[in-house]
Amino acid sequence: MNTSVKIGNTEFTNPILTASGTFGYGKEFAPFMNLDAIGGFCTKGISINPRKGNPEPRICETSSGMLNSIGLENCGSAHFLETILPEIAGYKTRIIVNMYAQSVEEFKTLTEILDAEKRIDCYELNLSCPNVKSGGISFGTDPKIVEEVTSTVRKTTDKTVIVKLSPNVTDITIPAKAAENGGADAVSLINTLAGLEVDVKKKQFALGNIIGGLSGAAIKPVALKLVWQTAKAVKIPVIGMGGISKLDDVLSFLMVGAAAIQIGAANFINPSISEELAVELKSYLQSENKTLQDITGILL
Amino acid sequence: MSFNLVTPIIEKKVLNKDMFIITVNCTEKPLAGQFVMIRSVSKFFEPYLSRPISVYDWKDGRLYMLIKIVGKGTELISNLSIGNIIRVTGFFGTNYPINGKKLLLIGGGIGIAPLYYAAKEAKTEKTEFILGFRSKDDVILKEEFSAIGTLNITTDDGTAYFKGNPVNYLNENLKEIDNETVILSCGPKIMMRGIEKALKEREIKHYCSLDTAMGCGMGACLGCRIEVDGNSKLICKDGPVFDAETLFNERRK
Repeated sequence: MNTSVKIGNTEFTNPILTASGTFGYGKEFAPFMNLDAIGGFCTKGISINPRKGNPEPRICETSSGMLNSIGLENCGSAHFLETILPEIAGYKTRIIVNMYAQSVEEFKTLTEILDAEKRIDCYELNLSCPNVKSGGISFGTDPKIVEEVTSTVRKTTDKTVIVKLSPNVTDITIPAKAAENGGADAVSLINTLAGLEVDVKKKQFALGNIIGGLSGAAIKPVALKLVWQTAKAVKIPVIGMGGISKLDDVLSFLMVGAAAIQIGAANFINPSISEELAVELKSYLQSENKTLQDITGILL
Repeated sequence: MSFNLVTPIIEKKVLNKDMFIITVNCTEKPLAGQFVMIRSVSKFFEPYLSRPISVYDWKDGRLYMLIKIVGKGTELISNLSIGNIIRVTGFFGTNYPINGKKLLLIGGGIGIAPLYYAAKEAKTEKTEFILGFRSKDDVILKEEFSAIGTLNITTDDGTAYFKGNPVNYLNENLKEIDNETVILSCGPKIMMRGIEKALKEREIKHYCSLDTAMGCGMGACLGCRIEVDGNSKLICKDGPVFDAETLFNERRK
């Protein structure tokens, strides 16, 4: 059974990937699963320089989900290239580096820093982060900036470029089309939904940063709707994510048009979930005597 | 070694109104001070995240977890019975150094949990405990602890044993503790910091174990960050056991 998917010039052995920020730098999960059993994984968002992230508390459990405000803490590009990448380079699975930057120029510089590294297969641009030059408003809310960032990275690299979209917009098809116009190979969605929680006992906000991003099973219907809308609006592949925890969730995303999917918060609950779902998807297709293409987008 | 088990509870022992021990089969052997992440499998999304739980004991392929009901997550776990399936992932975190000749283990409340196994695993000449509880009725596992070391108990309200907390007890008996002693502690932060304050003029090593809400237990979610000596550390991966002298920075003040 061939479950491979091609996005840009990257061939994934199967459409099960893991989402940035929920899978560390990959190596953390190696004791619990075979990293080569999944199509690929997204690293924690990497910025040019290391970042300390937000004040504690940084996570908070919610009904069927969780809020996080880690604040994109990461080791920075130099440490990633020197220390972390060599530790994961031996795996055959596709490595997607999630990029975090605060200006168009920074995205270009970061791409240049990483681009010589052959083991990096794809970039995923985090456009939910604030653009310092436009007063801290997120890149993703301004279609012109989305297109500019995408085309800048596109011109700097031959690697596959995925643009990760924020759901915190009025119409997600607008930034999705802007990414397509900018030359993205794919869009991935959804990033977390903005939210906050109150610790009533302490009469305080539950998160040190007040606002965080909601993820987990609770957001799946929202994500499905946005993936469906986006898949209808663009011609490039859509990578779907948001609350995927079981095989039916994977199939739902594929049916509404996702070419591949990412597992997020569920990795925290069961560190082998992505491998388990890759195996389950394959046996489902075998038992139904269907190919991946037979079910992808059947509800579009 | 790491494991990710979906396995039935084979034993459950209720100790008092909010403390209980559950047991599962687990062939992997933990290091003293390590922890597991556990959650009910039958109630998949509520609570959403797993809970970090100390290893209370490990013997003959059985893993014993001492749990206190502190919120909805631990309450749901407390409602589980023998035969119910839980997910247990581990072993996570750093371990207590247990090579010292003399060990003094200081625990407060549910913080006593990792100390039993640490003392059992240690090959020391002398093992002594100071375990603090709120009141007489909260005292648990007296026989178990006294079977492996000298047990001193404190109660905050003085309804039995030494009146006060473990730090009060330590301060009163500090002269008798020599510099060869290694202190291992777990409990409220204020207690562990209090031990450091008490040790200000002394050269005694002190390792403490921190507890916090965690997303994953394995260093992936970065939720449990703390700053130690100006550096970012994760309680789950760089801890839970830390050198208390560096962590609290009380002795250099």
